[in-house]
Amino acid sequence: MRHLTYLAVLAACLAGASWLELWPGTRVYRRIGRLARAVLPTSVLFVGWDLYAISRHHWTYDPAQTVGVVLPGGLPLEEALFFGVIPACAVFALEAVRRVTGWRTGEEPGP
Amino acid sequence: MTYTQLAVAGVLAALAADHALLRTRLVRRRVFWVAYAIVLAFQLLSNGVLTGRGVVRYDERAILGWRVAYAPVEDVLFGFAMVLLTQSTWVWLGRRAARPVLPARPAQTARPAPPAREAMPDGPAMPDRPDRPARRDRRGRASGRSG
Repeated sequence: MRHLTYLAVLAACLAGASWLELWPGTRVYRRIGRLARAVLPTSVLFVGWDLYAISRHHWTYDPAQTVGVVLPGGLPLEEALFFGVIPACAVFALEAVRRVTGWRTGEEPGP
Repeated sequence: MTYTQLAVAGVLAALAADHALLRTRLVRRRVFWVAYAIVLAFQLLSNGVLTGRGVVRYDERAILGWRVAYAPVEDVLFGFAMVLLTQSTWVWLGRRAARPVLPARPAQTARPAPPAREAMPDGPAMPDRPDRPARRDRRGRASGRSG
């Protein structure tokens, strides 16, 4: 079970954010195309950063706590998923706060 | 470059994107800082598990050595840059979709813009593209005849 540690942390993050779709009603999954387009540029840039950091040994991953699937460049599968999950969580947080408070993010039409 | 240098550069790049490239200027809005505070709390929790249990290990020569909940302080900067860039892109996409694509028509047929989503927080959620050209054409033609 120990090799699922990183994956479990990601699953917890996604589960913790996803219920915001039901309350307060973020409507993020219902705009999945926009979510993908918002997350993709960040994912690409930060995967690039990660690959550089791995190549320079800024950080390393414990093989015992990851599932063992390693993508080209030494990127564990979980780390690649991280750059999809965490940006999505950030969008959920923004939309949830906007929904609860009524504060504007600047995308709203009108004055 | 060290992780410290890259993390500072990442924050500056995200701020530049928010300010000048995407022009969303989220860092000037309360909604961003409250959302970021929530994300930061959960980041410290999940990152603390990852670094505390040694899932990810850092080269001490690449970081300052200051730690927050087991994680290097650079991770906070890394997270801030990632959150701001994603949210800024999200809002930029929403702003582009909300901008009405108006056909050329006489000024007297112009109608006031639809109310903002936040003007009726309890009302039904509006679609991403509130302006439907078909409806506007029908309304424009009718008002032209009567006026």
